[in-house]
Amino acid sequence: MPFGEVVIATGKTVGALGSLAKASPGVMRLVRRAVRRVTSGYAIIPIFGSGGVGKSTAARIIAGELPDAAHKPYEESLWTEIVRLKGDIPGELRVAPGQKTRVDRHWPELFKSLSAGRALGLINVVSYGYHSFEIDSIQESISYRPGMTNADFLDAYSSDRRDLELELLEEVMSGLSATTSRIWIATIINKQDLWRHKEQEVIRHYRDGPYSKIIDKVASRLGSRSFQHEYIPVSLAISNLISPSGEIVAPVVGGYDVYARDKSLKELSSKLNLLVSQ
Amino acid sequence: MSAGTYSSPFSVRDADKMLALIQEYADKLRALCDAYLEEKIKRQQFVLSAATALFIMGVTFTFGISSLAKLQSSEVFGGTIAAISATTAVMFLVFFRSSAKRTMRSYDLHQVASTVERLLRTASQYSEHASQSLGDKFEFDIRLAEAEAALRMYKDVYGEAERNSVGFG
Repeated sequence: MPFGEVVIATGKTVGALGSLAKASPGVMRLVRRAVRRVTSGYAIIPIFGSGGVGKSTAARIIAGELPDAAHKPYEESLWTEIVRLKGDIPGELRVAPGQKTRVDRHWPELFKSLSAGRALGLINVVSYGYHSFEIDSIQESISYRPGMTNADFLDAYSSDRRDLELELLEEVMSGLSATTSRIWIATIINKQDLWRHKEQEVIRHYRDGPYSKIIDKVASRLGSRSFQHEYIPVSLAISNLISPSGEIVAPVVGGYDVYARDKSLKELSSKLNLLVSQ
Repeated sequence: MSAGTYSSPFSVRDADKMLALIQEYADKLRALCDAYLEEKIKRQQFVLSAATALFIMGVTFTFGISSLAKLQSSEVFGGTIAAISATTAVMFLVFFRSSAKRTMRSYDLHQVASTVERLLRTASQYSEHASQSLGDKFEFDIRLAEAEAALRMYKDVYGEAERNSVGFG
């Protein structure tokens, strides 16, 4: 075959592929995924945090589900959930169950993927102690004392859960002790719709309190070139913190609407993209 | 009542009842899984032996009986088809009977598994949020782990994918 014909045939094929890609964004996405799979490998991102902070919802939203569809009534996860990423990045989010009784059984497996360097980074979800629960009434909680109003209960309960957030962060950090490769951590401070009226206090609690000190320990061990951390305040859903029997423990802050939520989600998306791309 | 001595309405009796229920249903689930597995193995053995029987029957008829009785090729063909059809009919009968049983058993299996799952979630929530009222936390944790193992066995046996892929654009 003469050289000219080969060039023309190649040009036609490339042109046809180009118009196919234009006609179908799905094809382009598959190509981008394949290229990334070859160049960067399969991404694993574990998600840690206590039960009821919104880890499963976070995974679904990060994976690309619409926020209204992603938010479901709280149901405790019994084991590690796996949510596949369907965008340009081939990989999966692994959501660790957050109950203390399950930490020993399920978290070590996720730590292995971190120490083996198969995970790009990890996400820790917290919510200033506003953790959803499934016990029927607040009166059954260990934080409840007779005569408490819902607001009193919220103070006691959220304080207890904040301690648990720290305890579990320590657990995550001890799981990172074998990690020497480059890693990032994103702290998603969820349920902004419930604490927006005291945002400064919440941000200070994480940025200036014992939480940041625990993070700093890992940062100083790995060094700033191998470690990056971001705080991302967000509201993955707009929903009162409510007991199954209907007691409103923490109502949505007045004026917090879908625009505020969507703005926070955009911020989440851009910060995570930045971390992943680095 | 002082703050330190308050115990939640979820009593030790409730916890004991819950533990007993978890154990009862986890045992039931394990037994159903065992029976399901046993039946699956029997089914595989049945298919294997039926296939072997058909093969032997075909070979015996074609090369043994037909040559002894000096049958015509059309008679050999007809005889083979008749023998295979009869055996297949018996096989189908046995298979459909066992398949109906299997369907009934799988309903039981699903129902018990969903009960165990519900109990596990409830127990785990009470263990996490109302743990002061639980008499023996250690025993409680062990029972939860046992029930989780039974549920995992169900998922493995029944071939349910643990992986949860979410559909999105």
